[in-house]
Amino acid sequence: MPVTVEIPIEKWRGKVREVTLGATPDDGGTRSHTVTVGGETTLPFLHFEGEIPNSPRIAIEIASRRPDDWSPLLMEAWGDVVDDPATWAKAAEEAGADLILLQLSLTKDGDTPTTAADARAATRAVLEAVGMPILVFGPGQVDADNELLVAVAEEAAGERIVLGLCEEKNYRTIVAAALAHGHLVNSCTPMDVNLSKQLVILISDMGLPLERILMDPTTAGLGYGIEYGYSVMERLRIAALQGDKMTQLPMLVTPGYEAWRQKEAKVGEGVPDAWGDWHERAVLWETMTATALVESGADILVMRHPETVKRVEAFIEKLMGK
Amino acid sequence: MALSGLQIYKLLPRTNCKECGYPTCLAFAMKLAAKQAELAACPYVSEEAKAQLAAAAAPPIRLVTVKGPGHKVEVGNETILFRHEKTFYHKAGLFVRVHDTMPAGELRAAVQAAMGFGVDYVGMDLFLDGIAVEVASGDAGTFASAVQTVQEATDRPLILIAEAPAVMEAGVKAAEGATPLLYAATSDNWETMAALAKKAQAPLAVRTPPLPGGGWGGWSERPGRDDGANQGQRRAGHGAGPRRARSHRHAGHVDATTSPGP
Repeated sequence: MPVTVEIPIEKWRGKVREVTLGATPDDGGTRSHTVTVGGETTLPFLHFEGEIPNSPRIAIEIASRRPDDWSPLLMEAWGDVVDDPATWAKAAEEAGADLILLQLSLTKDGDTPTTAADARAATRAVLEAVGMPILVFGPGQVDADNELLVAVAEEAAGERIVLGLCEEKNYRTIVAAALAHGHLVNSCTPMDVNLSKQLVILISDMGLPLERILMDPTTAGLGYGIEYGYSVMERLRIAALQGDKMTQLPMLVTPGYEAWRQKEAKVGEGVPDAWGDWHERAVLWETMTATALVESGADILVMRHPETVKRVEAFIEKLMGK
Repeated sequence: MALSGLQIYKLLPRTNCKECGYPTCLAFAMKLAAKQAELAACPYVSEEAKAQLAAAAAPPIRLVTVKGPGHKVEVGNETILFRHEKTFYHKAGLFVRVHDTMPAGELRAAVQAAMGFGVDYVGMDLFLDGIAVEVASGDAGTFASAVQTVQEATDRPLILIAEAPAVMEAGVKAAEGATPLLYAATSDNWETMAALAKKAQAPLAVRTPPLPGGGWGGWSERPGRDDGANQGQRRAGHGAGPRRARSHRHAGHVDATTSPGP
């Protein structure tokens, strides 16, 4: 009794823009290869409906110096490599990173501020250690970000790195630096569809081509409002597919940061027994945060634990039908 | 499927009596379609039209209930794809899978541990919904006694996993007094399974190979499930699907999976 199921197909007008990170020597950089994200013509993993030409990619987050506030589990997983960004970048490459995100620390030692020269040196070291494209994010304070990222942009001229965070309060400086030295920016806004779009418009008005903008809609960790971030990402992606140009950008999210600042991942003591093994719980927390975001349309996931990276990579491969 | 105003209009008396408070039957139909009026406002609508309109107003996904003496799981009745459009009504049920080859004491302990697990999460009481008992022995009597053991250890709902109708029948009998989910009807056994489910007034899961064109290739790689013949192999690591991969990481034969419907 053969029956045929008519599978409904949504005919979207729009397409997410393809954005390429990194530049090889042919294009004025020194990267061994580039990484392209975006290009979707359908909602996440609906392969029967449209094209998903590029897999979501994983960036492993490293810091310009040993982080003070990371969970002991993360410090244990990486070991001594955290004392040197170049060694850490190589270890991250071995752990399966598609991209390296270098997070600049606010201070060198807890006291002395990181200088522009320090930021240049760390960026240079990472660029020399690995051949993949990189992203460099400032410490998150406007003055420090402006000073350090402008120096980093100049140091990495032509490499098509991603500069972040590029927010409403500092986008002019960051975008100018990206324009001057051939880089990309990570347009970061609080969890809101309209704010995301608005900042992309402002950045684009300064003359930065849309092919050089990533959109970071901000997310939350599992159990801490991830459903709101999830919905914002879904709505942005639907708007993009419906043809809204200013939302047609690949999305970058930071599940590593979000998951590892929550008690469930960070803390091993003074929690209910029912929470179970700390290590497994923490890795699961980051994994579940990341996989939910993959399902909601993330194109780049910034992650922290090497074991999580393996699990999420396997998950993405399955969803891509590989 | 929701009906349009014109479709509803055809089901109304079309007398324009105005007793519903609207000037014409068509105006009333439009209000009904927009969900701004109640059908009860029409005193003359036929029973048949009422039934048709009620059926059309039902959510596209049916409500399925799996029930134990002390807890029930309801799934379905969803009306949207995206959370921002409205809301989801039922969360997914979480069941823990056990096998009938586990010694009774071990089985009881595993069920009690799983059902006793709970986390208070900012005022929400999070717990597991029930137990899925899977035949691994291939034997109806063994399956029935495992179901009975589980039934005695918890008052939450059960899922019975077996494909041989005789085995399933024994399990259903052992679960008397509850409404388990029967898993699963396949192209080979569907007639007997459907009859069993109908008799027991229990919901039935239907399992098929994936539709062509889906991206997820995992399910089709699963080993055949002929109730027992290759159980040993499966537990020894032949399973290729993600559920299997996951079960191997847990000690013993208990694995925390979601309800086993792809």
